[in-house]
Amino acid sequence: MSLKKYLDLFSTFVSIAFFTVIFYYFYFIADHIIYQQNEKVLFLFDIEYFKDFLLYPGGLTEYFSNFLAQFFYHKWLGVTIITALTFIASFITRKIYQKLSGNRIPYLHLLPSLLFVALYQGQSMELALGYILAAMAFLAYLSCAKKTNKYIFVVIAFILLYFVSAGFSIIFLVSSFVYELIHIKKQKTLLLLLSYLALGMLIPFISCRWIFVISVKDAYLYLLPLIPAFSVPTANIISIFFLPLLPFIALVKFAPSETNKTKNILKISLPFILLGLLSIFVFTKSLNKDYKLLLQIEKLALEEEWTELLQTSAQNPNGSDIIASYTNLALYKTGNLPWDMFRFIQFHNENGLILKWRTSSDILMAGSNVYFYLGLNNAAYRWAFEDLVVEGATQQVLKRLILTSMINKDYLVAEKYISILEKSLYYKKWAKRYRRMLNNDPAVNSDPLLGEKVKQLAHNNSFITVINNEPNLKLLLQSNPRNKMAFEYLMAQYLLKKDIEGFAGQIENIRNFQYNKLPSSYEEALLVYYIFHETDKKDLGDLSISNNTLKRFNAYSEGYSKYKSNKDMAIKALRPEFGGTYWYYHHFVDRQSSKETNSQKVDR
Amino acid sequence: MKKKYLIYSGSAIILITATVLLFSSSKNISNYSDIDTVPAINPDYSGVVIPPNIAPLNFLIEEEGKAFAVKLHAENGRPVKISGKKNKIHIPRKKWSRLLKLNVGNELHCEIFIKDNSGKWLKYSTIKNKISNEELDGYLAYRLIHPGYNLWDKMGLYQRNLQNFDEKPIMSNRTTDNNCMNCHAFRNNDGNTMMFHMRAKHGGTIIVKDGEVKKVDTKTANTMSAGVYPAWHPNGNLITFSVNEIHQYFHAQPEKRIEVMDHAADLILYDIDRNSVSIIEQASKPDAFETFPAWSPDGKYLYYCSALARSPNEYEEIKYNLLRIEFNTEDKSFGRVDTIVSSNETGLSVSFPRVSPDGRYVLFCMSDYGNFSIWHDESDLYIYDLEKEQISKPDAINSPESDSYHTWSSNGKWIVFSSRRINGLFTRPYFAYHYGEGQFSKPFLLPQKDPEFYKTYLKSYNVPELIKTPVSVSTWEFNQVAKEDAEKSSYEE
Repeated sequence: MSLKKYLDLFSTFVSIAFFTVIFYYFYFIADHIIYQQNEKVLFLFDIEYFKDFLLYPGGLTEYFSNFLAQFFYHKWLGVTIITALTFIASFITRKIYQKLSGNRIPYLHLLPSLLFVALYQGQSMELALGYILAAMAFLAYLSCAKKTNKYIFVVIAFILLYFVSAGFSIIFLVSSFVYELIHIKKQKTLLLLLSYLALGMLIPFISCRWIFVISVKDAYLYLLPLIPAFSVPTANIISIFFLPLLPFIALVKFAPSETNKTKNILKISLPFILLGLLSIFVFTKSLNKDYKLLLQIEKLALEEEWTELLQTSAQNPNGSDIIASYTNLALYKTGNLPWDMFRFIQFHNENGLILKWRTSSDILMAGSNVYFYLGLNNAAYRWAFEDLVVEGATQQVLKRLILTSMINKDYLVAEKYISILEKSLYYKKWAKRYRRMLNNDPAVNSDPLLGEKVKQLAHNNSFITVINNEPNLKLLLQSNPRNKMAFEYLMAQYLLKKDIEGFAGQIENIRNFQYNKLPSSYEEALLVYYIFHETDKKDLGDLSISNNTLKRFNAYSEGYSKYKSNKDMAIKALRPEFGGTYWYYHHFVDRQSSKETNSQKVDR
Repeated sequence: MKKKYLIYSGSAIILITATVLLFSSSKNISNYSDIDTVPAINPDYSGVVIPPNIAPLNFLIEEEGKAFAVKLHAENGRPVKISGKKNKIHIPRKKWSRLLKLNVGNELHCEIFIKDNSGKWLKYSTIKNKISNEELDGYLAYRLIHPGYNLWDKMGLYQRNLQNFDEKPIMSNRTTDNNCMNCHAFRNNDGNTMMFHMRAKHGGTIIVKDGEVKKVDTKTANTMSAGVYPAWHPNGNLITFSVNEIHQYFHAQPEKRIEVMDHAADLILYDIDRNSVSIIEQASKPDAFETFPAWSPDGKYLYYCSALARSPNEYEEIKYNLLRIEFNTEDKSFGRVDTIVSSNETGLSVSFPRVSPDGRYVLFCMSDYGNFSIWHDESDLYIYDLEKEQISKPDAINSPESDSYHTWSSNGKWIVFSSRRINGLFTRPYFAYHYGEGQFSKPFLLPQKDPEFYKTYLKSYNVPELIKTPVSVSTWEFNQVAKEDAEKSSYEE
């Protein structure tokens, strides 16, 4: 076998291994990307939906990207699509490179795929699609035999490409310009080349000035990856300039020699090593672990896998307020909130229980979820609708809007959302199920999910408070005194705010619920309350503070008295045994507490 | 020879196909049974008065059938026939326009035939509509926005050519960093004398007058806010604004969603040429909320809503009266204040007064309390006859859901108003013919090319304003001015 054939075989093997790794990476490691694409994009088979993408250059690429994203419903299919796109990108790059030079640098064509991996975090497929389109146009340009054909092609292709993929058309045009500039022979051609640049300046300007309602910036740069990738900040810049630089790179001669063995070893191994190092860097660095954790927790909450959610949260104690909120929800759903809430670090205080309103799209559905479970239906609807306004109609949002509208018996509004969801491929069955319940109160009331929520509805003529949730929870209890979640959340809210008086004011309502024994955090808080209000003994029905808790409280008090002059010492001494108690939270976790102080999972 | 043969046979095929298509789209159905039922169509375009310059009223036939045929005919001209297997009826625009123009003042008949499952054609009762003698203003301006709460994303002001289905943006926040824009207003239905506000980024008020576009900031140290709800004085150089401290509350009970209320509100007069603002003292009392100004066509009276100031806890007690204040156009001074509609007498609260172009009627909304009627299901339109000093509720145009913001056409024969009658949430524009004496025809919904359009459309048509001519300033020009710094208005005592 000749050296060339051997090298080709090795190169094929490396390529197969490379794309297998990409598949593996997205299937097993960065699978949150697949979930994110499926959750955040909803493709509709609807002409009005399609028309919206015709209103600006680049819309068609987004449309096709959304079309593909709907298949991310199946994880394996989503990963296959991503891998296929990265493969197509590298395949076309390889073809271009072959046209440009006979002496290729091995594996260079895999670079765009690697860049997409880095840029895929939180972004969608427009980048890969745009690149593929620009590269295909450039390849076609290089394949034009006659000069005249080339000039005609560049004008037509650029205008078409501009409409389809906006900023990527500029990449195509600049690549063609660079290629011609390198191979220029006549002075006359220079003028023609300058006309390339003029075309690139003119078409986007005409587009934003007379045709589309878009900003000048969008007219030139829309769809281009302008935001740096996570931990691989230059990936976006390289991905923009890679294609235009390819004609230059092709000038580098890189043919293995049949005689010089040392040189050959270097020439063969160096690109391979570089590819390996670059791959390791991209695959390890580009994974946004915080984002992955957030999406993991969100997914588990949607699937109501509460135990797994708690395990995941416990392994990652320094999560955001959204994660804290889901964790507390999982604690409630597993019946452990009043027992175990302080085993999880509550450094977001009451804001980690019910999310505080802020104009940020990331909290909206998480906030809606908690309100939905609580039964504050109008708030659940509102937060979901805010998400619809900012993020567009996703299946998650539409489902929430349908359910909350059905619970409110607002069937005409529910029908609208159902009609939209019915135009999707994978969620129409779900939508049709609820269509059958429209205008049918008995069906809604007897549905296990909707019926329970109907019972929880607040009928009081009150406003939902935005800053402090205490009145909202009281309102729910007023409407339905047996709303256990509202009760436990109200108590948790008092404890997290360290409002012992507020807690004690409501504790007697525990008699409305079937508790076998007094939850530990309530016991602990009551003991604190009794220190200051010795005579105000609460009527808890058959429930009482256990002897074990009394003993532990005495032990804690002793320890606290011993070390109270030195906070650090006190933390060190008390955390191992009492870190999961309300007492410890009361004394050592405050709103200003640093993550460092509370960075470990608290075990009793 | 072979080539010639191919051309001939090709032409013949095309000709036959065209004839078949033509025949099938204008099917004559002679063998049918009559049914004495008016067919259900959506939107409901039955028993309405329509202007001779409206776009085709495309609709869906909401009856079961294997095939559908529609024949539109009137006294003059050739009937328009549409048929097919789908229940979606798209009326050819040119034929429709011709039929309407030839039959101004006549009845327009719509015959609907449905082929049932056994293959028999059934003819339903004819739908009869009236073509009015008076045209509707050619364009409708509105803001498209989600009926949301706090947040917004994409929004814009649009103008729709009412003779066809062309909708063009007047301004879109796609070019202005997704900021908020609202309160577009025109002088006497003139598309070339207009204004709108921009909020958040690039904030200010954009004013178009005499072909000039400028951006001003009407907030002064002496006024509580920049101008909010506008009303152009007919002279074209003055705009009255309310200045408000507006708050939003969210209801907990399922029947209600949002409450929007003023914590304070006054009226100001803005002079465009001088770029100056002055408080209208008589309509800016400390113990009252004054809002929603509207000028009489002669410019001698300013109508507005006023309520006794109360705390937000007493929001259900905040009821607005309809007041009127005299205005001297010579020295720009305000005079006596009269109460036109008293909430004490009606028990209701007034919002959005608009005076008819002949100055005889004031059309306004009334709801149980407050002023933001679009979030009040009980909000209905009422009309006050200034000659007879009588208030009446035109039942023909009202619905159980919110019927709210409205505009008169320039000839006073038409109104457009916002209604949530379809589902109680998404606002749609409806048109109604004014017979005179405060009487209106049954309203009809703004037609769309696709009659199913509204079924899944998630935005509301906000502040519908009828204009005679389109806004001629391009979005590009607006965009340039929008990004400039706003010219600060001065305050005048």
